[in-house]
Amino acid sequence: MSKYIMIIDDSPTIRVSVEMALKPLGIPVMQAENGQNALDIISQMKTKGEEIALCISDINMPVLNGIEFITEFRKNDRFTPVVVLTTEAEKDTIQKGKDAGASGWIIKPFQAEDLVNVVKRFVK
Amino acid sequence: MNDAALTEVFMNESKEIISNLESDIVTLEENRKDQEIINRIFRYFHTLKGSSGIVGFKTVYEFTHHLESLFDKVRSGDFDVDSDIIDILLESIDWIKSELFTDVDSDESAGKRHELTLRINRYTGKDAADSAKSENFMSEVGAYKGIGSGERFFRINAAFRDNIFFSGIDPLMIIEDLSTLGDVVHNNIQLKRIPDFFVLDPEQCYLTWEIIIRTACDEMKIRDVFLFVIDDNEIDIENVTDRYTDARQKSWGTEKKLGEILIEKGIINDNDLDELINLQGDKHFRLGDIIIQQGLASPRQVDEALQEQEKIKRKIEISTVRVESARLDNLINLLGEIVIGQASLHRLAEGMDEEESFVLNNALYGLDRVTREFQEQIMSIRMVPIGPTFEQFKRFVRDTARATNREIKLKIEGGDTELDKTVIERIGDPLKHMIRNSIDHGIEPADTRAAKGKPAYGTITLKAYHQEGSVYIDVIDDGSGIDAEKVRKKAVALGLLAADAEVSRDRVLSMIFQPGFSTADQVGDLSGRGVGMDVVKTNIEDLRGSVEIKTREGEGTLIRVKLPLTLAIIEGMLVSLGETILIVPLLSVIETIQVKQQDYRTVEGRGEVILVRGEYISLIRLDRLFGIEANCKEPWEGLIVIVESEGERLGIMIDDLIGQQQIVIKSIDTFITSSRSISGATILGDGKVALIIDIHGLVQEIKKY
Repeated sequence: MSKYIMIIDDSPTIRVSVEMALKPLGIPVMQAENGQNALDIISQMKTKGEEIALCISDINMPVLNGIEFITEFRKNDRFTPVVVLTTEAEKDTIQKGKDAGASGWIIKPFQAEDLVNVVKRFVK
Repeated sequence: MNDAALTEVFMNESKEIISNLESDIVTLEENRKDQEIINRIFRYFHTLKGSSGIVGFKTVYEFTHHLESLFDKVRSGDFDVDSDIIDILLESIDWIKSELFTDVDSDESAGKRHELTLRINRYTGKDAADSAKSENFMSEVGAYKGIGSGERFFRINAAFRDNIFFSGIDPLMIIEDLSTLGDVVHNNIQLKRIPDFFVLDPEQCYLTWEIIIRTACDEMKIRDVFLFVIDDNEIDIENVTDRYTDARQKSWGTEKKLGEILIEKGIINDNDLDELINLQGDKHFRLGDIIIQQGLASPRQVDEALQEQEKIKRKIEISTVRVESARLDNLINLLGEIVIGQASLHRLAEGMDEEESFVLNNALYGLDRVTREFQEQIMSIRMVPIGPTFEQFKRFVRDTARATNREIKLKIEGGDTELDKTVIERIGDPLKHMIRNSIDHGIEPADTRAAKGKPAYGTITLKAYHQEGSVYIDVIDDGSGIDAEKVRKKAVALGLLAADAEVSRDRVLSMIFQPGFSTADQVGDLSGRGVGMDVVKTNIEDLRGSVEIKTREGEGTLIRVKLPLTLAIIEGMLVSLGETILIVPLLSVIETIQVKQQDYRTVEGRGEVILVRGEYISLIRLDRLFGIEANCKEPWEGLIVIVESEGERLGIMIDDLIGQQQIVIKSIDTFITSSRSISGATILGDGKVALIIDIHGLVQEIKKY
């Protein structure tokens, strides 16, 4: 049973581009529109015994934003890596993510290669 | 899915965003302070910026960046929404629409974009230089990829924070990534932060890495590996190419001086070292102190180097003692042969006249000394300290104490006492059982203890020490002690003791080691299931050891285990039956007596017995058992050796006692004897072979009849 990579972003363009970029890795990708949607999907997956290898999450999202998502996610899962997608290379967004329990970051816009390199750091 | 498909996804998304934006901007015009709408507009620009960047609409990406900045300011209340802003917004939307969905004249479009950007910048206060920054965005990402040429050496010290795992980062993956960049020529993992096992939290990272890597990559590339951790962990990356000498080619595994280690790590160089040694001069300053004083290395670096030095030292020790234990046994056997050869020479010397034997005896004296030391050395190789075995009970005591609602401290003494490896391996279970008994039957609950004026917590002491060529292990508790009267009653009830038997208190207490014996009124959760001290005793006897018990009611109990230093050599009592010499292990011998004819009788169902101080002891005739010739046909003619095993006492009939000596045990193949009564053989000084009686096996054999 393979593990999934979950991309959480309110923009379908980003979600699709992440899925395309990760295709060569052969890891199935799950899409979620926002933090709440992601948490719902994850809890559904759990009942089916499916696992997440890595979450890639946007910060600015409606309903439940990236920081709120990580905080909520970390309550049940302390070890699965979460990478934040951020357009602001500013330290404070990255720092907020880290404080909430993020493992790394990817700066948008990204090249497929950059994304793959980051994913490879966390998923072997 | 291809790029065209992705563009279509983007087009659909932007259409939706733009239509949402248009309706929100109209609402905003009517309700200029609606924070919710302001937030939403900010997010739309943010999303549009992200998506257009991914798909490659560079102009839209850059332009929405300005709009995003504008709304970031509005969002944080830097200025209010006025009709000018609404105009800018609507014109910007029109520009985005035409840029994305129509074929536009690029010059005209660029002109409009420039105009709008200037109007936006009046609010955000940014200048042209700032907008250039975002254009550099993409190239910035690429900057990490540069790979230089030539071989470099980097020293990386990576100390991760304890809770690193909780952010989904596995330091090992980072180290693995690093190792793909080149050859790791030196990898030293510091273990000093690992706490005691029982307080160790497996979800914390206690390790610190020091790695030297030979690589063709530049420093940027090395740093990039640590990108996500470099800010909030102690990661030092240093290019040590200049200082890194060929020290690495020196063989590892030989002892090293502190200076050498520091040179190898590229912390100091050869010249530094020469200078340091000059400074050190004749004074008894330690090199490490001088290095720190001179500011050549941090105390941490020196400390780590010292630890490494220690580790190398240990590695050398370990690598040289890793020998199959069978080979050691061989050596011991050979040594036994030497001892036998020596004994023959001594006999030879005895036969000579004084003048002749003088030189030989002198030579033998020297040889004796060497062989004795040789024997000690070989034995010491098999020796391991008992400390770790004791330590493992800490957890056990803690858990057992909790389960039984008691407060107990475990005290360990003499953990560095060494025992034969085989003994160590097999002493754990018996000790565990004894400790369990002490907790279950010995240590009282805290309130009972308080009432007796004892400290609320009980203490169990494990103590190991050498004495008279044996190793003693004491298990001492300060509990309630053992009620001898209770033991006696129980023993009588179980038919182990005659109701009127006059036996010593020690003998009564030794009943505890009888199978099926338990004084606990109720069967405890842990012990008292009837499988207990008898197994302990059997296990210890199998190791040629013995166990005794001392107790003071209300004050505590001491169980003393006596073990041989080694399993290869025993103290033996040489006895004779006719021409045959047999060896009785001294550990099993209680006493040697002469019996009177009136103390001898035959009892129905027990065969021949002798009466010793009110107790009947079964008599063994080895001559009949082994089919040999004995001089004394009746028990009162010769001597009786009283031996004990599993709480069972036996009297062995012998002709005479010859003496007592150290016996090197040689095992006998099963095709020679399958008798359980014989545990092995030894060769005596005159070259004769003597069989060693296995008392434990003998008792088993007798029981069969």
